[in-house]
Amino acid sequence: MTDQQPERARRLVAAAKDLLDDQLTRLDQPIVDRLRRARREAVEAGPKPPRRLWAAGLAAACVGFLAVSLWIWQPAATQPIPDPEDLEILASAEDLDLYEDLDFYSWLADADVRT
Amino acid sequence: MERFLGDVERRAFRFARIATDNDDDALDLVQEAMMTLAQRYANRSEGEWPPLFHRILQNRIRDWYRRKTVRDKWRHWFGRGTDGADDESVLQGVQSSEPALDEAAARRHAGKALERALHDLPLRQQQAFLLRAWEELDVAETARAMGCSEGSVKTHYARAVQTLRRVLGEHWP
Repeated sequence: MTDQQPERARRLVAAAKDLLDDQLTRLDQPIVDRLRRARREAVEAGPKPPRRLWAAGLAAACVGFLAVSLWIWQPAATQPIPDPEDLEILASAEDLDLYEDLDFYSWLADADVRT
Repeated sequence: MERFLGDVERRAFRFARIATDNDDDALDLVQEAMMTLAQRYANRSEGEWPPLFHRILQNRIRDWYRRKTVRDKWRHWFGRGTDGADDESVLQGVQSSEPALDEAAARRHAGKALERALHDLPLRQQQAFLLRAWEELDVAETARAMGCSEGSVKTHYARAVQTLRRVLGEHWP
């Protein structure tokens, strides 16, 4: 059994190879023509020119230089120092309407004083 | 380059034809493989072209197979069946004992049955069988062409032979 199996496998492989080779000679002419055309197109296309890596490198260097320049030359950060009064307002739980109409209440206070 | 491509183009077509079961798809795959080899590897030594070409072609076939699998799933969901699915027996004509069949006709039938049986193999088994048995690459070369380990090649090849023997019948050829 173990001797027969490799022998059968060998016979199958040999027969398959024979049939596949045989089929190569019987390809339809339109297929042969298209294969020839494809081959010629591939050969005529030839090797692609080498990629212009130096151009990509130069572009990357320019972008990097620009980024570093902007980072170095940007004006000093001017974060406004929070006014303690604002903090107090924000921290309070009072109705913010009062602060939104602050001008009105200032005017009202002045008016009270004058009357 | 032209001579090399001329030498391999028919075999390459048969490889792709067995995998795709479609002339146009097979021609497209071979053309893409030729173009890739010519554009990227024309400057390599001629000795490197065969393994490179096989690798490119097998990758193209594998990509095609993946796309087809996805397409078939969609078709299945929409109830339209799969491409080229049929129940034609691979043994049709092979085990026929009709005396009217002359030798040439018998070979044609056997060839068709073999092609169908190869097409029905899982892709990796199909590739391993064709590269080892037909292209006569050794295990290492086949592994490089398929992009897998030598152990996988041996497994795929053994399973392919086993399946072909079972499907084609004990009396084939």
